[in-house]
Amino acid sequence: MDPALTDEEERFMKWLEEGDVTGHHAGDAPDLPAEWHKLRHNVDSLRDLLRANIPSAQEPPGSASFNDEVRQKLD
Amino acid sequence: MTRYRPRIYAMTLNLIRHEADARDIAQETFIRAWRAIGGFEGKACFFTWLYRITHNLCYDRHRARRFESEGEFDDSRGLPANALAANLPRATERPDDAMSRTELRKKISDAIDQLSPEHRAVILLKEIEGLSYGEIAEAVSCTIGTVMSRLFYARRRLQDLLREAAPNLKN
Repeated sequence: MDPALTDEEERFMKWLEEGDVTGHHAGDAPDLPAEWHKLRHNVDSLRDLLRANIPSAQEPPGSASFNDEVRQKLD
Repeated sequence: MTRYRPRIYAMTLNLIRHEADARDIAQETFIRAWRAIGGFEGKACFFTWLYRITHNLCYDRHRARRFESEGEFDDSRGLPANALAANLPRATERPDDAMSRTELRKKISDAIDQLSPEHRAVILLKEIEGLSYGEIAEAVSCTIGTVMSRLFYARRRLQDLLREAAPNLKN
């Protein structure tokens, strides 16, 4: 089980999510730690790396018979 | 079913790393979804609801496999990197580029293998599927606080594991 996040780590995670949802980060907040931009860059780099190398969609082996097999199991 | 089949199969394969089991689980997901469709209230997005079924099935399968293979060779590991990358778009590459890309995919695959099932699920749902914290919490049946914590530590672990293979992942 992971340790609970500190208040600062939780704020950072919420800031990241805000950027993902709205498409921009609140970069002008006066209390924004400078390190957050660097950390966000690392998160973006990791995401780019994973998306370039892990498929989000892939047909299963025997995809032609897949749906029929499901229908037979439902009968 | 045809619309969601490639996403559900890919996600299942990424999670449990075993082609035959992933195919079985993808089929079982659609069977359970069909039987439970009356209970889908439309509060969550359909894929999130579907994924919740997949996640529960993967979790059960993972527990069963761990129980079966305690002290034995675990054949759910070691899925070839090209099995995961089979459907990725490919540009024309020189042989040495193709080799380094294959090696990189193998390293990423190995790194994902080293994550706990909980970390693997949140990383894949966030970074590959692009779900929000709330949608992930819905899909894996936990709180948003737990999603943030798992994601925070999963990213840190992956960055540590992949730093050598991908130098742009800085400290």
